[in-house]
Amino acid sequence: MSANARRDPAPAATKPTRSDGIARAQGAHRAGRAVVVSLQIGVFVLFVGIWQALAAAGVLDPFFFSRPSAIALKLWGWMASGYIWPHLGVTLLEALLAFLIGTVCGVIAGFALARVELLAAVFDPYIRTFNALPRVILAPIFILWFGLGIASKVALGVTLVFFIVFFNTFQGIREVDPMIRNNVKMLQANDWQMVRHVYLPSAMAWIFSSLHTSIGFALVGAVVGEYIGSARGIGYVVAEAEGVFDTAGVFAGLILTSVVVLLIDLGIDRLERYLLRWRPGAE
Amino acid sequence: MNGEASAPSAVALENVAVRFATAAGGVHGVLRDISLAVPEGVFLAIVGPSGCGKSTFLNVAAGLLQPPEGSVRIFGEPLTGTNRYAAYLFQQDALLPWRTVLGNVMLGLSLRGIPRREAVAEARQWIERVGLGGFEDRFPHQLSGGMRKRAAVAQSWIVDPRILLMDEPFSALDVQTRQNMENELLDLWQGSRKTVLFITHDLEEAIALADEVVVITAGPNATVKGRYAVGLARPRDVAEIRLDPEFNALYRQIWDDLRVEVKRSRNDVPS
Ligand SMILES: Nc1ncnc2c1ncn2[C@@H]1O[C@H](COP(=O)(O)OP(=O)(O)O)[C@@H](O)[C@H]1O
Ligand SMILES: [Mg+2]
Repeated sequence: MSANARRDPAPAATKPTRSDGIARAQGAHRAGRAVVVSLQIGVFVLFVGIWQALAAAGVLDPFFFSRPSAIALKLWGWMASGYIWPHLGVTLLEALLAFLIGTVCGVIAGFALARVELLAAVFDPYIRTFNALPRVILAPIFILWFGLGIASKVALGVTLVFFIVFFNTFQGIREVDPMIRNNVKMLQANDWQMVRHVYLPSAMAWIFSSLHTSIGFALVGAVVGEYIGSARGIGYVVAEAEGVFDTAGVFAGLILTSVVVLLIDLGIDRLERYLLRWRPGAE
Repeated sequence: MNGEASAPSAVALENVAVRFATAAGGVHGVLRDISLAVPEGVFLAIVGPSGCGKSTFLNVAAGLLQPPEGSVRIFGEPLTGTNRYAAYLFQQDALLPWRTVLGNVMLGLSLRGIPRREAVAEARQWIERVGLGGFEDRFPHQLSGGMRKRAAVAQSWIVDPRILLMDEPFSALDVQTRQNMENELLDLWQGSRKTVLFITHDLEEAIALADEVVVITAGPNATVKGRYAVGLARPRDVAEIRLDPEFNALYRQIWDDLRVEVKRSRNDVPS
């Protein structure tokens, strides 16, 4: 890993930046906010309107494309009848478990490889190979191994989350400013104190700024796993709808997933802003 | 170094050499044959042209760098690992960016296992003392360069070290801030019996602050060229002392030595 990883950082490792990656001049933020939101709503209304109109005019075949009103009705029906909640609950539970397990393993592995040169050298090719593997093809194998229940979905999510957290931890530890390291060493920190006060906080900055990606991937792992084989969860609902050519149901499942991801993202934004408030530009 | 009767030097280097492997596979000699003994309580300034190996020298005294040749003794004991008698004020910012001013200043105490309440109380005193009162909860990036330096001074002094290693600590500051901080440093140090090794490339700063000035030759393979006693009266004001005729005489004398080295280092293609 050593030299290679530094020269060409793994794709999953992202230099910590502001969460939205957009630099704003002071004041520009507040003034433009209302305009941006109304434009965003405008885009949504326009898109949905055109879709609805085209479907009504017969340009888009509702069999393949459904129509917004049908999708909305479907979603409403799911929620009103309570049908969707257990499925959503299962999916969220799988994503949460995948996220937690993947993060813990990723931090430990990242730490070990960043601190022990030999480990990094030995495992470098394996980690690269495994990371390059499209994880979706593992889903059937995991179902064979762990069954149709939540374990196989969690396993799939873990393989996705692990690498993101691993690369970010690795990089975060390697990039610790030597000046800071020496400073804390001179203040007579022992090895464990170095980990606690220098390496972990530095790695945390990287891990937090990859939270959006890793939580998103945890959810992807869950939904894809369910889609391929299960009896519960959003992925299962989508697969079922597809099986009976219920296009509205497929879209409703997709939209539900997107909305959940969006809500989680907003939560992470706030968390990140708080936890990384020590960073320049974090305000 | 000299007989058992006298107190051991705070810092004693003997025939120290430092080399680094170059990318091309060769060896780059940075320091050679450095022998220097610093008695306890002395404020020693070390001057030399940029890139001659001053930071390397200080890292050896700090125990951050083990020299392949020569010996380092701290209060008579051979130095192994980091120098636990010493605090280090680095040239660049070395505050922990994820800790507030208070968190940074109290760090040394926390690491030594001092209870939080006590550590906080002491850190607040130090923050007050270096003129950062009211900024306890700021993060380093919310402070000016001068304020960060003040926080770093408090961070290194709070552990009450017997030796202070300072690597061009004020070189990045504007003249006004710098003179203020030099005076404050002298106030802190006055009567503390702390041994100071103060690196600078500015001869005026060296003479204004120190009891003794050591000149290091240009690199590669830099070594000690001369050692001068500065007999100027204390307490001093670094701005006013520059007008003292004794200061000027001393400056001219040491500059004669240093000038050659600075010239040499300029003529050298930077390695
Ligand atoms: N870790 C290192 N590896 C290789 N060369 C180094 C290292 N540290 C310092 N040097 C070299 O040693 C010389 C002296 O550096 P330094 O002690 O920082 O000089 P100064 O502090 O006097 O400006 C420079 O030529 C520098 O390139
Ligand atoms: Mg230097």
